[in-house]
Amino acid sequence: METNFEDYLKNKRTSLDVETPDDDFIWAGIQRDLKPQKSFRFFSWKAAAIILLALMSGYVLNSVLNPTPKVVQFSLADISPEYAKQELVYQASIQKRWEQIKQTDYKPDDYADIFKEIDQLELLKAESIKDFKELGGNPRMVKTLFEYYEIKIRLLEIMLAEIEKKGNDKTKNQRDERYY
Amino acid sequence: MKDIIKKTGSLFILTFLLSFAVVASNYEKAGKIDKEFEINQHTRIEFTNKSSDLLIRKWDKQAVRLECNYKLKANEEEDIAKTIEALENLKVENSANLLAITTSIFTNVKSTILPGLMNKIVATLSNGTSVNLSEYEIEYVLTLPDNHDFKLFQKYSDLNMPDYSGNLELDLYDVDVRAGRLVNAKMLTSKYSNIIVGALGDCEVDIYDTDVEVETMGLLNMKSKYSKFEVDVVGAVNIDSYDDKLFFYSLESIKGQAKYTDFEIGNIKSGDLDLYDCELKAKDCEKLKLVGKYSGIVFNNIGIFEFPDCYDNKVDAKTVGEFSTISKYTEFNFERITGMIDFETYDDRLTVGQVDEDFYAIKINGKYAKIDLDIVGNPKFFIDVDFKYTSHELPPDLLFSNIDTKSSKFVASGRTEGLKSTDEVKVNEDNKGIRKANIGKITIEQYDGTLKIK
Repeated sequence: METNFEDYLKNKRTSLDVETPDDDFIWAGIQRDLKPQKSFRFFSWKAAAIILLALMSGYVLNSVLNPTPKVVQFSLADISPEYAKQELVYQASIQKRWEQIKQTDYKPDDYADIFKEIDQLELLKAESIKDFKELGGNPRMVKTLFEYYEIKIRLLEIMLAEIEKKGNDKTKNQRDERYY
Repeated sequence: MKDIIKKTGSLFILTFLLSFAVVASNYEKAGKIDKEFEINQHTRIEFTNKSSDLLIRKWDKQAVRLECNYKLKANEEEDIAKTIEALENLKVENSANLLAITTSIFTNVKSTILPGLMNKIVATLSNGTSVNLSEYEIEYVLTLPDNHDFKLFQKYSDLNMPDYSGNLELDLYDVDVRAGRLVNAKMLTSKYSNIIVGALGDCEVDIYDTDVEVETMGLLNMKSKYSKFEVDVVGAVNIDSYDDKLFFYSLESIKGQAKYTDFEIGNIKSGDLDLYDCELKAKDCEKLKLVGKYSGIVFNNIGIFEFPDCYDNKVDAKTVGEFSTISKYTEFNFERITGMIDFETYDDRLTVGQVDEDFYAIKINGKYAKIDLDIVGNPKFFIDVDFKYTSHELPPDLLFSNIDTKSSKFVASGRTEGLKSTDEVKVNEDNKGIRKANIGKITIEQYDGTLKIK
């Protein structure tokens, strides 16, 4: 049967090939099918590259324009994990006071001496971190770092008290102006 | 399903326990390294010690002995050997003038501590080699002759020290100190430490978050923050204090400035302080000069009390000889004034329970003040008043002349009954400089407020 079919094709080939394939039509069809997919891939890569480049440029530009000091992330958990919880309590306490301060209309310049104290405290913390690298996790360092947090909390409390005093003085002066 | 959970759990526990078996140390060594360094009579000794407890002893030899007691544990014997070798070869500078010993042997340490479970130390020695230890306990004993200049720099450890009479400088960071009489301690720098010491010399003290207890010392020149300083007997004190608690039970004098500090001080000859938001409690003071804001001040007796810049304070005293101030928003309560009041005031309150009958002078000039004075006995005085809108109450036996009462004023000159305008005023001064007079002088210029003189 197969032989017959092959013979049939051979004999009828010329009559079967009555029309030459329309290459342009077929190619247009292929292109139509392929083009949207290819275009999207090309576009997504391009977009990703552009976004990445933009982000990198922004980062580099920001680093150049706004140089920030390197902050060494150091946690009491680096000495011993059991202190991590206590550290979180301290950090939450600091955060709470900062939020209270930020709710006032304080001007940082008015409290320059307190910020100077905080700077000194940060320097001492940096010294402890340096010691941690040189000497390892001496448990005494935990005490020192707890002290760091306690003094920082104390300074923020002082700042809150100063903000309150300033408010009271302002009220007194306004009262004096009004009545006297 | 239960079976799978059970097996997984068992495997986890087994692995967990095995992990500790793996890190368990195989080698342990404890011992002592003993070194001695010859010095001459004038050699200065410097000892730098970080992270190891230190015991100092004295002897009569012109030499310094350093004993290192160690206890080491490691998985590898070689690590212990390398560490001991480093401990035997500490950095030492030894010349005729100086013996300097530094005990640090590591340049870098990474340690993990899980209390009761794990203690892992990965350290780099000064020569660059690395050692893994599970325990590193070092204690030094330093034996030195008395009378040498000695500087000690110590961190994160305990220090025990006997009496020492050489010139001494201590630089401490997180150290617990128990020391004897350091009678020539000239400089004490300390952070995060606790110090109990028998004596210090005339000493420059710079402390930060440090508690100090001293029995006796010479002159004290102190810069302090967040600290507690307690001394039984001290000479002249000069302070620059921030948020401290200071106790000077017996002292000659005190001078300086303080912010957010609480004081308790004994009898003093003189005080000269600039206070901001402080609490000062003191006994007697012969001569006191204060500048103060937002502070509470309590004295027992004060001879001459000058307060030239006073803002929003509360001041209490038993007896004051002569008192002068320029003040705003302050409350003064004195049980007794013996000689003089010179009060420039704005919205203050002054209450004096008793003004001596032989007072020298009372001068009040100000606005909105509330003043209440009780002159006891049978005083004789001349008085000039200039009130405007002032609610006043004066002794009934005063004789006034030249009275002007226009425009809510009361301006007048007067004297107590029995006095003549020609009577002579005789002023005398006691041995503490407090003036008294046979006839006092009162001058008041007041706007608004109240004045009561009984």
